[in-house]
Amino acid sequence: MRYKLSIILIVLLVILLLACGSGAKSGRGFHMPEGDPEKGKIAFIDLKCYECHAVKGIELPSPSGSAQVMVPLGGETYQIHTYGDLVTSIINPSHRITRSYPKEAVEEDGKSKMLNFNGVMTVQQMIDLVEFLQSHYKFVPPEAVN
Amino acid sequence: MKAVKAVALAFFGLCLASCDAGPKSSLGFRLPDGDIEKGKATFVELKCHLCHTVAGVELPPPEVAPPVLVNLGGQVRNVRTYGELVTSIINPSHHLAKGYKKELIQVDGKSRMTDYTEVMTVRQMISLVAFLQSRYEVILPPVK
Repeated sequence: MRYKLSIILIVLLVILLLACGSGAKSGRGFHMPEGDPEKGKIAFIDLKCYECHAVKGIELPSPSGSAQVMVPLGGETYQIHTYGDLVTSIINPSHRITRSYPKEAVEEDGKSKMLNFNGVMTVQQMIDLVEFLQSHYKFVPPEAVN
Repeated sequence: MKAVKAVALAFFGLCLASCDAGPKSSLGFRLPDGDIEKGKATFVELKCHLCHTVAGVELPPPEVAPPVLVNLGGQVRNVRTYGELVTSIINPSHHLAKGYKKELIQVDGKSRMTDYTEVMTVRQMISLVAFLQSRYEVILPPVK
């Protein structure tokens, strides 16, 4: 019995350690410099992100209507949107595609339909965008059920 | 037996905490694939070679002698992750190079490295990371 328990413990530990993911492509050690949310909002408008995204509680220019689907950002969330998550969503949108929409609306051949901005976006714009977006998510812990 | 359980629990706690899922954490960070060759071109374009050498890579000689040449690449004990490399490029003061005289590489606790975040595109950053990562070789510590 005790033997079995230790095996389970060891397996759990290994899983936990692996979950941290410290391979060459992992984000271990990623630490973003501080960004400016105001400049992030400007970048959001400059790069025309508002054509496909609304941001909770923010007034933005109205989209021209060419977007097939509007994907809102910000607002209350059960899950913390980390800097890591936000950077990935901005510069590597196909890595994790939103599941709240019909597939055909947001992806094509398994790739996100979001435009790739990596060639035109400066690193500073990315940093400010992340700061801007993060400031508009509100983490709400799920209510405890008795 | 109780002590063992307590230790095990504490260890679990530490493991979980070390993943660090706070808002500013790296959790979920995943770069798209970069182009190593383009990374090398970017390295020269942004004049990184004025202050850095890269193990096993031939680069133009620096036109101006820097206060110190900081070597990149080569043999390391721990893998250099994408996360660490991005940080070193866009947030150089976060973790200063070891093995150099402080006054040569920092001023008031900040890295002397030039800030490139305003001029570097995200794609250049991604290519640079792929290039640099490819120049590190993880070696195991010698067996005694």
